[in-house]
Amino acid sequence: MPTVMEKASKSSLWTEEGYELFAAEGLDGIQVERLSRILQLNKSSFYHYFVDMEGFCHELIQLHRKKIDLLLLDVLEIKKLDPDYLLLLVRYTSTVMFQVQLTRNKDQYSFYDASTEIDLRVSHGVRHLWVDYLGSNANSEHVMRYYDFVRDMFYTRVSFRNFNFQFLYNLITDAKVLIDQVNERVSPGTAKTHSRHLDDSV
Amino acid sequence: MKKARNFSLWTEKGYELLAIEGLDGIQVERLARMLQLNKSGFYHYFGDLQGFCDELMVLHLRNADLYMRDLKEINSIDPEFLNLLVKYKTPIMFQLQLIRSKNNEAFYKAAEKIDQREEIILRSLWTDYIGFHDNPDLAIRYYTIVRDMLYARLSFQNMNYPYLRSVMNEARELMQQIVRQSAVEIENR
Repeated sequence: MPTVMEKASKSSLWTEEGYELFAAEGLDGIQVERLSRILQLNKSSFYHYFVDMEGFCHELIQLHRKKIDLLLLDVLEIKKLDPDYLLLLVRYTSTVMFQVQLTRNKDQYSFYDASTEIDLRVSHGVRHLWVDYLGSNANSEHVMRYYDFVRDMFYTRVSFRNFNFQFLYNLITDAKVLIDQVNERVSPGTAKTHSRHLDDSV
Repeated sequence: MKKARNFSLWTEKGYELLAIEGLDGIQVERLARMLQLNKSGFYHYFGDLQGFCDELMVLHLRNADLYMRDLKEINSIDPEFLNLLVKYKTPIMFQLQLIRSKNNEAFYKAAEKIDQREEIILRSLWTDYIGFHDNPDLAIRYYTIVRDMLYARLSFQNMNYPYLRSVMNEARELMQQIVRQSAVEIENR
């Protein structure tokens, strides 16, 4: 008879693999048949642990919450959006891409609620970095609403292929230059950022 | 005539499915079941899945032309542009799927070109809407952020006038508040 530890580790084989596949391909990527082939485990074990796809997705979201907790703990240790937070995001590529896929599949299961709740936690966690990045004259309420826009733009543009420091850097630089130019328009001579774009990547 | 009708049955249904679910939604087996047609017809018309997707792109470019033609005729963001988006719901959702999925680079580039065509036509109306008459370049750069934000938030369920209006209002108000805040801070210096 399998021990409790053995049971837990077998169920985490399913969830860890499912997590990576969901992050890369979304809901279409996690078919029981495919997972069982990759893991060389019997499909009956999937149904034993998770009952159905909804149960499995619930476990994936629980795992995602844990990974987000770790990311937010690491955020506490950093000082700057550029480069610290951008490098952190690259380190957490799978976690970030899982969140992207949750938002893209928001009509399914409880993905909408989970993605909204996590977006909120992350935006709260990085608030000080973003406000600091956009400059001290920035009113933080407006700046955080702008953050939501830029994050959603990122969700549209990102893929596993283009997810790297350069892509993130270009994206936030564009966002900052725009705000600086709006300030410059109100009061010529106040713009601080000079765009230093790295090579574009798709 | 029957041949032409079946060809467009496949492409119309495929176009709709891709708009809803992205490229992963396109499976020959599933399409055949939905249309109650034989799979052999699919291979006869399109050769393979890539040939089929190429035809979907042809259809999308045709829809994009119609959209651009209508876009040139409108005189306001709210309500005319927003109503146009609702009218072209399926092509807009198809466009969104192409932009999100970068698996096919040729399709992605084609979609980017469509977005750029839209920006050129919309430039003056959007500049008026945001109130940046002195700087249309800045206005349209802001538009690209708003459009991509919208692409992240849109679904078939919320693609309606009240939702689009609330998002556009939010985008305009945010920019106006940033401008006002900036002016206040300059006065206080």
